[in-house]
Amino acid sequence: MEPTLLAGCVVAAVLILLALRVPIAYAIGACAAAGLLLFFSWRPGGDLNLLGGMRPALRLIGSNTFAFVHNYPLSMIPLFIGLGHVAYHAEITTDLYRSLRILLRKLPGGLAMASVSGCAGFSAITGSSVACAAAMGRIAVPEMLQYGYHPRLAAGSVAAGGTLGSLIPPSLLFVIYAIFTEQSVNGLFLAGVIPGLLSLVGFLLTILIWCMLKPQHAPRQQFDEVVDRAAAIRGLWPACVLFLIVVGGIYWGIFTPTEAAAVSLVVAILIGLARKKLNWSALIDSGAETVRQTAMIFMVALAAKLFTAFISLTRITPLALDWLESLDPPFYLVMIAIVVFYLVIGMFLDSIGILVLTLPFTVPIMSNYGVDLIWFGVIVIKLLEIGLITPPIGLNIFVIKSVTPRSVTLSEVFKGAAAFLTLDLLVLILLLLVPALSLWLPQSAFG
Amino acid sequence: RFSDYGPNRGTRAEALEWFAAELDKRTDGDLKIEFFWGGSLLGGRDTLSGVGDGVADLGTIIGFFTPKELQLYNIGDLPVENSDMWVGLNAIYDLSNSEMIAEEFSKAGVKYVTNYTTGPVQLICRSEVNTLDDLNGLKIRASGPYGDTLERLGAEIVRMSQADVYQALDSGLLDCNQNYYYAMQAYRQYEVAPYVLALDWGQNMSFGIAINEMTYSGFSDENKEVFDKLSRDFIDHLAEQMEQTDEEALASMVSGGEGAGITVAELSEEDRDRLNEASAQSIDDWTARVSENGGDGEALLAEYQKLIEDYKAKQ
Amino acid sequence: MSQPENELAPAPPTRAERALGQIAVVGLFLMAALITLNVISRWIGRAIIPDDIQLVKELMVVVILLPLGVVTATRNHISVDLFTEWMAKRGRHRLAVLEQLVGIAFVSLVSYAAYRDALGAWASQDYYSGVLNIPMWLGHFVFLFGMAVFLIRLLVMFIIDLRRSF
Ligand code: NA
Ligand code: NA
Repeated sequence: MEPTLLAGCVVAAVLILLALRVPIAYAIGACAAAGLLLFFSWRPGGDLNLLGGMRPALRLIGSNTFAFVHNYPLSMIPLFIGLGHVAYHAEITTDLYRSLRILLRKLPGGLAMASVSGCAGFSAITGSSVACAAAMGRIAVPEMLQYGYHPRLAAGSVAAGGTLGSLIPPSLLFVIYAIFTEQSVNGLFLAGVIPGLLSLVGFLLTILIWCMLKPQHAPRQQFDEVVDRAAAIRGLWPACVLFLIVVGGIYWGIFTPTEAAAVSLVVAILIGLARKKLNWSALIDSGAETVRQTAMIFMVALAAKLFTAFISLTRITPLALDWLESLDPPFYLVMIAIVVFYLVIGMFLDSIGILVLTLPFTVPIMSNYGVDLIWFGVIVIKLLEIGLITPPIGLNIFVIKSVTPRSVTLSEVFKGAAAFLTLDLLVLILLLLVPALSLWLPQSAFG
Repeated sequence: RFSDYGPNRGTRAEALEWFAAELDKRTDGDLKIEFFWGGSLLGGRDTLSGVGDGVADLGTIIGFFTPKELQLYNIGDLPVENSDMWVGLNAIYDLSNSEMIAEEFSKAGVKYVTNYTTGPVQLICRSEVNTLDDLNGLKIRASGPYGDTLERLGAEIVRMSQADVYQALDSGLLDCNQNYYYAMQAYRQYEVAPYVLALDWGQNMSFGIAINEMTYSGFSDENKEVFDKLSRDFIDHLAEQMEQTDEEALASMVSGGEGAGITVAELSEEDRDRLNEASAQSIDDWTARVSENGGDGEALLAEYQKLIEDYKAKQ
Repeated sequence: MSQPENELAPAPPTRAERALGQIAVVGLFLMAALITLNVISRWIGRAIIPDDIQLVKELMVVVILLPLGVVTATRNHISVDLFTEWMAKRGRHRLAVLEQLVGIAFVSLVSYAAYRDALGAWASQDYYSGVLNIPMWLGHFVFLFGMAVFLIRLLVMFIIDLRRSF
């Protein structure tokens, strides 16, 4: 069978199975495995020889899956996931939010601003946007509703703020991107810092404008408790320490990212134990949540590894590149097409799924144009983050909905988040036009 | 299909492209090679079994990953007294085509094709290092039998990947790194570690190309002949290219084209003897492991050393 | 994440599966402790754990493969819930039958490949060169074991969903 035809059939089968609610890992894995088997058993022009194809196919499946699991740099993934869970159970997140709430109380929409900034702070500890939205949603949304904030502002700000999770390091999506594109995790982590902060500024501005237009949505707070600024600042230190370990450690070259992940996890546990916020069962719980999530993510990534090997065997990408070259479109057109493509599929699919399914195609196109793949990584992750709050499938929206009171409806959350999209798209355009925003930090660290 | 673990740039990749182009030309387009770089098909560790099972027809194999399966071929990584690339490549090429090693490859379902080399092993350091005594207590990144030998000389050995070395040298996690001139330049390690101790020690040569046995036996006799001849020519081509790259890298690092230049210290005669003595122990360790497995390491080693002497004379 | 009424109920993981999950948790914390110890000891003087990178790799197999039984039993694999949200419970079980079948196809192929690799690693007795010379078969056996548990759980889920879809 012609390899290109085979590749087409496999991709179609994946899409059909995904639509039928087959988990991403099974759909990609089974189709890629079947594709590999057929590729090796059915040489173009030859007869089908399944027995002959079995040996190379099994070898490739065995080698690629095992090597993916038996892997040192990837230990970053469970370690960073663990960091997020431990930080949550050790109430580092709650303290962060409480402190910000006090420090920002004078500003219009102060509680919403504290929530969004809290998301940014928690992003610096956790690797995933959904974890970020879930943790902050649980703490901040009920608080805002209690103080009379409009549900749209309350839920929307946290849903949007949660999307900082993957842009501000540490970030699972950057790690996965790094693996599939052979880019430096260090570089990507540092590249995400400024775009992350820029997005934060965009969200804060949105809240400001919102509160100026509709002040009744965010009543000024009257605190029952005594305002203690010093205590509020003290509440920030655990999060700051962890952020310094991860970003500072990488920037000054004290650790590799893997070491930063391990050290910060240990430090988070020690902080939790020292402040008596973390007990034995909470520690075990965070560990259990971590390994389950890790297993889940690795099954998807492992299936994707097979899919990538299959796609590269069929040589479909070089063919597509030749075709693209013959058309010779200007770069900005290609870039616009890619941005729109990611925005549209971001409406439907899960971030990790999108990354592993699309990178085998988009990255060769980008490197063909000589694009810096670190910058492209920032753009793709930003696009995926936007996808988390766009309808119909916005994972962050669902998460916020599931951790907030029933009175807040799903469409209310979507509408609230939509308000944040305008400035977010402006930030995206800025990142597209000024690559230095992403590249300056990694370049200043590594020369 | 050719599977390589590395990126498609650098001297080795260029030499492989040369190999593919020559093969195409000399067989009138009968045999063409499609490259899969960067381990997109098989990782470095899995290439031997992958080529054996026909995932790829050809692949870059690294002896270090299979210390037992390719135990004899691992002879190429021993710190023997020879730092000339052409001599080393020719010696390991002849040796690997000898019956003993060929059998080892055959067991893995592959046939040995030809060889690469890393070039002679040098040491790049943060602080000035002029003698072997200076190495005492230093943290050095090193691999395989070279690491064992340096450990015997009092150094503390750290294992880490070449890509992480720059930062480790910069932050002082490492004092020195075992490396080759061209790789020091490629990884820009000279920026953070301006002192080089020119050990001109043995090379890493358990590092070559293998072909699936079935693929090879499917070639016509004529093509087999062309293929074998080209495999031999590859050695000369690679040695020439590598020597040139290494020299250029050294010259550019010394002159300091980008910033302050590096300082290169030569090893004294006495130290050279001491280094060889310490290396001899690592070599003995290897022969002991081979005989444990029922092989004749002594004989293979003698053959290897004889080949090295022969080629040195021919040079 | 959202919990519509037609969501399928998770199956209770067996005690053995839970125990495996707990071993994975121990592996996770061990991994963090091991790397941290090495970083600290390296600052003070010598790195005290030999072959740390290799040990972390072996632990990775434990951390990733052992929780698979629990994850599969509790229906925690990521899927796209877009075109099927409106479906009734029975329809969902029918789709779940398909899901388990596809999963079985994938995991049985991986398991079979893992079985061959484990046998191969045992036969060659090859090892990872280093201080400890850790044998290669060790990780391969854990990998195979985890995949086998995963496969058995998928077969059980297949039977559960098949029964409920009529
Ligand atoms: Na983050
Ligand atoms: Na979306």
